[in-house]
Amino acid sequence: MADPVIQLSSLSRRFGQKTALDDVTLSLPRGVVYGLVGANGAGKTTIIRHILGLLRAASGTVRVFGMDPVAEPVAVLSRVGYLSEENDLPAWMSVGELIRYTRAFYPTWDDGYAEELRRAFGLDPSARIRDLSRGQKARAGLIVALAHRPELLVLDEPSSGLDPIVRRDILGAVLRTIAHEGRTVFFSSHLLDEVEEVADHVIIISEGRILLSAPLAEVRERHRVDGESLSLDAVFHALVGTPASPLPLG
Amino acid sequence: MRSPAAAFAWAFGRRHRFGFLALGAYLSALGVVRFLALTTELRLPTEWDVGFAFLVVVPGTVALYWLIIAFTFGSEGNLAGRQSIYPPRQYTLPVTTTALTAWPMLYGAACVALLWLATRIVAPWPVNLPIAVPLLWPGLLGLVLLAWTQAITWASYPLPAMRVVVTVVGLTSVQVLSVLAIELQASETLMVALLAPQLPLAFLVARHAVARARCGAVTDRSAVFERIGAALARRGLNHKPFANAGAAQFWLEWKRYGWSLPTLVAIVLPVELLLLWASRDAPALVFTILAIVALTPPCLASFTAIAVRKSGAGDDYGVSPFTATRPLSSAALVGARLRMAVWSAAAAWVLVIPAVPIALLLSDTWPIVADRARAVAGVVGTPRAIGFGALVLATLILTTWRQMVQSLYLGLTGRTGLIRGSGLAMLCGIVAVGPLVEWAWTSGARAWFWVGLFWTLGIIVAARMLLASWIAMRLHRDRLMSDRSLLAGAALWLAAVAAVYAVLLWLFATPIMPRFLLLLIATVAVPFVRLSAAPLALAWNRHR
Repeated sequence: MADPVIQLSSLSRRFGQKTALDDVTLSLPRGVVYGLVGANGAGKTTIIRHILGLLRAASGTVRVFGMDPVAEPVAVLSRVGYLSEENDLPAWMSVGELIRYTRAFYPTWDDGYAEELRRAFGLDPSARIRDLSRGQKARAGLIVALAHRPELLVLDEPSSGLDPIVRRDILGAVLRTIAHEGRTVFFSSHLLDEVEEVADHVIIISEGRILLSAPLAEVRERHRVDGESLSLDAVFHALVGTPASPLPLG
Repeated sequence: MRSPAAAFAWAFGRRHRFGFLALGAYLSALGVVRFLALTTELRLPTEWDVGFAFLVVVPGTVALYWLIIAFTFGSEGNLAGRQSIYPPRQYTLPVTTTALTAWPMLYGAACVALLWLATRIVAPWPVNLPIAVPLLWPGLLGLVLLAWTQAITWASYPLPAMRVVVTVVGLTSVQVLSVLAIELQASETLMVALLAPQLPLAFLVARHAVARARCGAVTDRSAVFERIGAALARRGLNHKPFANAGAAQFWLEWKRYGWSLPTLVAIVLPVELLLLWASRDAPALVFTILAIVALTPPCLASFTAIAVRKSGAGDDYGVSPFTATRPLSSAALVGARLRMAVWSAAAAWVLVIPAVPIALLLSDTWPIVADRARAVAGVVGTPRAIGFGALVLATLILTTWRQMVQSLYLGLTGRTGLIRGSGLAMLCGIVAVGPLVEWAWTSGARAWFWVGLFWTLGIIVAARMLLASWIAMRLHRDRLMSDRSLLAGAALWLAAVAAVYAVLLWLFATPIMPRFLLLLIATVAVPFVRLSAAPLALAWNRHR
């Protein structure tokens, strides 16, 4: 097996009294789309922040491309594309300025691809980020995350609060990324149908613990009732221990 | 809690509970001192001396400033921004705009009034003050100061940083009023008549400001700058790709912070220089105005430093994911900001340096300055006078830059408690400087101070060296800077110290001044420790 792109070993993290991650161990080879699934507060963003080096491993180790992202942020981050849930792009920049600024950080930046994405997303280069809608901001963030053709694309709740058209754009971008051999996508979501649609490998996390990490096909194979594969939604609720049906309205 | 008034009171009390506890403890301690003085043989100060200053003036002033910060929501908003710093979360509360404005103003006023009355009644006031301690107007002045600060800070402005200018001008006017009142021994009735009507006026201004901010009616003139940027972009000046990541980061830092200091200087400088026209017959006033002009860039730089020391673009001190995920080392991110500060300070002085002689010539005050310069040159010699002038100018430019960057090592940590705690400590220090200097000059401590000066400077230099060594080791261990960069930084610092030492030797070539004292001064004058700690602070914030 090739060297893993992401390797977390016995990673634990506490924020005050709350355990955010509890002895998480993952070894993720390249060339796969990983879907990290969990309820709000399960620890998805904490894992992603460790992968990006935004959190220092308090206990355990984190390796991305075989390197510690805290000790070697430049070497790691120059090979990673990241779309944040917070979408904190500088509001005062125009789309053109954002592209021009971000381009300087990545030797592998592809001007043609950036322009192609900008046109596909219908973004005016002179439009200020602060004047864009939420979906347009996500698209702008996606351009600068993808245009340097990263080896690892990390998406933190990319579809959260977005309309179906923007979600389609993001999922399309994920598919385009994996079309290039050897590239890896790691995305977190609480939208199980979205994960089921795109991911090759599913990781389910609850209360900081990894409950399941397996290829989606294997998950389907393992969880059958009367010969029928269970949906990811049913598997998730069975593992986490919450009812699959919505709560009754009060 | 069934009423909005109680909810507002609870929110202030809960958020600032430690501050209120400290204030209560201080006033209680003051009461105990007064009680002991009445019941025992404890002697209290009879004059306006350092004991009284440290017992009453310093804590009282710090407490007033803290109340102003608390009741304006000053610690929550961006003072240099255009938007009102009134918390937007409160706009959606189901209460009238009058209630949104009135409750913070009323609670703040009540606290300031209580602070003054408690100080007035409990504090051991010296008997031989220049004026009898008034009962009402100093407290009323505190209320006016708070009310206008609330009105000014809750208003939205058409341009960024405009609030800082309005705050400085407005609050300085109120402070000047208090100094004049003491100097002219104004009566209580006159002061109350002058101050009291300002309270309803400030309330109306504040209410109008909150009402406009609540419905999003904010005039934005920053589009003027954006149009200039767009015009430049059309001319192709903004289309060239950046040479490298450092250049791109410098561009971002300049766009975010760099222009603010030159803009502030450009606003304040003409007003100051206009005063030269009114001082043609008062040579002393000309030099006072020139001193104020010279100190303007460093003073305004300390205001812009509030924004510059932040890690991200928002109001939060934490580094934003957008910045934290740039594939650039923490040292390179800090380096871009330091370079931005160099250009910002230089741009501010490019405005000041030609403007001063032009204003002196146009206002016919040039001969006053030229005569004084000739007199100085006659005493110390022309080359030394020019050298001294150049040294003063270089020191002012360097100080401007230092003011912008010297608190980076605190701000970049992103730890709000540390940043606010250091701000409060600095405020205490500023308030305490006056009484300390007075004490040093009027007591026997002056002789001790001069004897111990060498030792004091020596200890400071030794401590700085130790700290610098520790920081260099951490930078090396955490791979934040390469060996080559560390060596280059150390060599640059040594060269700067040697240059300053050489200039000082030339300027003060007298046997009275020992050479090692000059060397110690040069070592202390060239910044090193706080600047080199900035990458460590950012790394601590970036990788939590």
